[in-house]
Amino acid sequence: MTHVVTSNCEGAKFTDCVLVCPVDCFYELDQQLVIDPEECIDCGACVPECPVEAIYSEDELPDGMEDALAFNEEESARLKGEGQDPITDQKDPLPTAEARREELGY
Amino acid sequence: MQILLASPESEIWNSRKHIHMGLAYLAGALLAKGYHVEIWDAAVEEKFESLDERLARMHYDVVGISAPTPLITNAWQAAKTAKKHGAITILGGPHLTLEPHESMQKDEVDLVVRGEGEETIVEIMAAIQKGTGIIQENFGHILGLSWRDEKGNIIHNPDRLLRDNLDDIPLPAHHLFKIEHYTNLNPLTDGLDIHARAYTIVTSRGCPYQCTYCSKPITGNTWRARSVKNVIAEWRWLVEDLHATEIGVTDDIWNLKIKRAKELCQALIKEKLNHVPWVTIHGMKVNSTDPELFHLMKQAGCKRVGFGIENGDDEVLKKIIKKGQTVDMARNAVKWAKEAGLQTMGFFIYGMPGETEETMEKTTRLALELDTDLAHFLIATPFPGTEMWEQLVLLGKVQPGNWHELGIQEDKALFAVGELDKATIERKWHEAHRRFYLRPKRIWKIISRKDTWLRFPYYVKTATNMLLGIGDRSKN
Repeated sequence: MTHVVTSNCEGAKFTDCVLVCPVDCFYELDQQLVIDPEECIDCGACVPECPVEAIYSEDELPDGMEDALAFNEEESARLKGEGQDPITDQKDPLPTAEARREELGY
Repeated sequence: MQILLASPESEIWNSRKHIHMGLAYLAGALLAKGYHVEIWDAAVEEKFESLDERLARMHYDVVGISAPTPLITNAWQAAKTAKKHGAITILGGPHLTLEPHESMQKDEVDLVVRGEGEETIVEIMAAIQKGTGIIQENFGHILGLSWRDEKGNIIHNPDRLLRDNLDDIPLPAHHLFKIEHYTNLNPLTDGLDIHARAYTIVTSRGCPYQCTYCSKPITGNTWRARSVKNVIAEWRWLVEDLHATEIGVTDDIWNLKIKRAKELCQALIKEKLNHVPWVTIHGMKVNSTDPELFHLMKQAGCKRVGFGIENGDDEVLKKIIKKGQTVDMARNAVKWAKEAGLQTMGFFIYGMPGETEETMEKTTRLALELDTDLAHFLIATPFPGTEMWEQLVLLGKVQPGNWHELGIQEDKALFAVGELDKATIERKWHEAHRRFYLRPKRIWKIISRKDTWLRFPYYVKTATNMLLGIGDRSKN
C-alpha cells in the first residue's frame, strides 16, 4: 500500500507534505510532486498537510483519479533513475498555486 | 499452571506510577487462554511485600519479568529471586528485544521474549505444559523466543512479525492491578485529581517517524491502529466497570491519522464516555492536528494535551532529531489546543549531539513563547536501539553495560559532542526551568489557583526538586 499525489497538486506544489514525511519519499516534477511507492510506508502523515487535498491512499483515490497510482510509480522511478534526490525542504509554491487553490475550491 | 508477571520498577525512575501496560497485555492474553495469572509490580507493591516474600508465600511455576533498559539489573535480580523459589524465569521488554543474548548468558534467566509478547507467552506456556522441564525441543518453533537447548547452547529463534490486527489481541488485564496504589496522571493540573483511579489505554502501536532519540524496539515503525469500536469497548470497561476517574492515552503517536483521531473523539461523545477526563500521556505529534481535532478532543473529555516540541531550531528538528515537523507547526498546534480550551504541556530536549548553546537557547525561548501550562525539559538520553546511541557509540561517548545510568541521572548530561560540554547542557537545562517557571505571571497564575493551596506540600516538593535540583526525585 502507498499514498499517491493526485493531479490536484498540478500547478500548485505547496510542498508542505515534504516536511512531515518520515521516510523522504517525495520527488519533484516541474508542475507537481509524486510519491515513490517503494519508499512510502503508508503512514498518511502528509495527507492533512496538503492545502489542496492532493494526497490519497491508493485505495481511497477519488473517481477519475485512479491513474495517479501508475503516474506516481512511473515518474518517481524515472526521476530516481536520473539520479534525482527526494525533495525534503519546503519551497515556495508555484506562481500559479493560489489560482489553482481557488480553482479547486480550497 | 500458576504464573506471576513482575515488573522490577521500584526505587529509581520517577514519581509517576502507572499500570504496566506490557504486563497488562500479557496477562490479558494468558487469561484468555485460561491460565491463572497474577501481577507483582514493585512500583506499588514493594513497600507491602517484596518479590521474595511473595514467592515464599505463594507458589508460581513461571515468573515473567519485564524491564526497560535502565531497570535490566533489577530484572536480573528479580530473576535470581524467582529461581531461588524454583520458578521458570522469562524476561521480556524493550531491552531484552535489543540485547537478548546479554540476558540469556545469565543462569537465572531461562527464556527471553523478544518483541510483542502476547502470542509468544501463550505458546511458551503450552510448550512448558507439554514438556517435563524447561529444556524443550518444542521451543524451537516459537517465534521471537531465545532459549537454551539441552547442551546449553543459546538459540535465538527468528523474530515474530508485528501483528497486523490489534483488535484480535485480548484486552489488557487492567483489573489485576491494585489501582488504588497507582498515582494519578501526573503532573497535576486543574481538573485532575491526585487520588484518581487513573488507568491507561493504548489505542495504536508503533510510529513511522524515526526520531533519532526514540527507542521503540517492540512496537516498531509501522503504525497499527485498533478499530474505534475495539477501543471504545475497553474505554467503556474502564469507565463503567472499573470506575476509572482518569484515563491516559499512551500510544506512541495516537493522532498520526487525523481522521481516525477525530472518529475516536466522536465515538467517545456519542457513547457518553466523555465525562471521565483523559490526557495524552506521550506528546501528540504537532503536525497531524487541526483546530477541529482539538475541539473534538475537548468535547470528548480531554483535559490536557502534551506535545513533542523538542527544539526551537528548525535545522536541529530536521537534521539532528529528524522529527518531521517544524517550529511553526508547534506554534499552530499549541495555539489551536489553547483556543479549544485544553491545558497544554510541551516536551523539550536539551543537548542532542550536534546542538550548540545557541540552539538550546532557542528551545528555551520557544518554550517561553508557547507558554504551555507545563513544560517538561529533558536532557538527551541515549537509549540503545536509537540512531543517537549508534552515533555516540561510534564517537566513543557511550558504551553498552552501564544501563542503570540511563534512568536516574535526569539532571546530568551523559555525553557532550563537539564544542558543547556537559556543564553547559546542564546549565541550560536548569536555566530553562528557572526561566519558564519563575516568571512573575506564571507564579501569580499558580498562587492564584485554589488547587495550589490544597496541594501545597506536593508543589513545594516538586518545585524544590525541579528548580533547585535538590531532594530525592524518586521519592516524590
